[in-house]
Amino acid sequence: MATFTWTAQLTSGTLTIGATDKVGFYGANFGDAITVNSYQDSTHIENSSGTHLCTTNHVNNTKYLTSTTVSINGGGSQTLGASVPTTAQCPLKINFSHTSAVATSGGKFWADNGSDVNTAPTDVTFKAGEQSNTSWTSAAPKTSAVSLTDQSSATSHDFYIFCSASPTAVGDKTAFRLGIELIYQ
Amino acid sequence: MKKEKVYTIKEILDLVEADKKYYKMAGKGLNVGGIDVADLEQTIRIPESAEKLVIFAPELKPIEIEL
Repeated sequence: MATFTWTAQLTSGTLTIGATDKVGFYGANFGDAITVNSYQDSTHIENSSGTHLCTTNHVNNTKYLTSTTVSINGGGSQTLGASVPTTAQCPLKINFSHTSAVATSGGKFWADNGSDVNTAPTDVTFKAGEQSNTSWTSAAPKTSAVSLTDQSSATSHDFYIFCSASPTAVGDKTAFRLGIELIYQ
Repeated sequence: MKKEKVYTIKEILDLVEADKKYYKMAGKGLNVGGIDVADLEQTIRIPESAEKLVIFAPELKPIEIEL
């Protein structure tokens, strides 16, 4: 049986993201607005009612600076590369497991508007990459997805994702969903 | 071979000191760890849970690496 498990990687520890939980991009703190056309300064997990779930240690924050640079947890600009961010610094770890060993290929990670994979989130610019990528991808909608590296045969596959979001208009942005798909054999 | 690391196919073949015949099989049936290889610059990641890596190509003896 094949199973996806989404995990938020916190500044200390991890938090499983439930099926109805949400990844929230905010200003300096949970609930703070992001200035239009700026990127988030903090990343959080909340439940379907908007209750903050990562109250002690927040999710690692990877903020888009330029197409090849990132600010990790408020730090200075770093050039994306083989160990920037590290796997542990990526905000999302998405695990794909299978009862028997399989190889994965053709993986994609993207954001859409929550109802149509071919429509970008409403009033949001979304950037993402897989750990070790050297540049950000404008990963919305699915047709512009991050291409995930093929993985050799195993029963468990981890995909480490860094991501960043920017509003292009004022107000809460909820027409916004993250997705992953892959082929396994 | 380190796990959770991205390698090009060429790097893997170099690391296991594969015969030159394997290099010539890219795009002709070369398979590394279950991934069909189109060219030697193709990249794959070795998952943390991987226990072995098998390299095979038509008419060549499979190479099995314990990880």
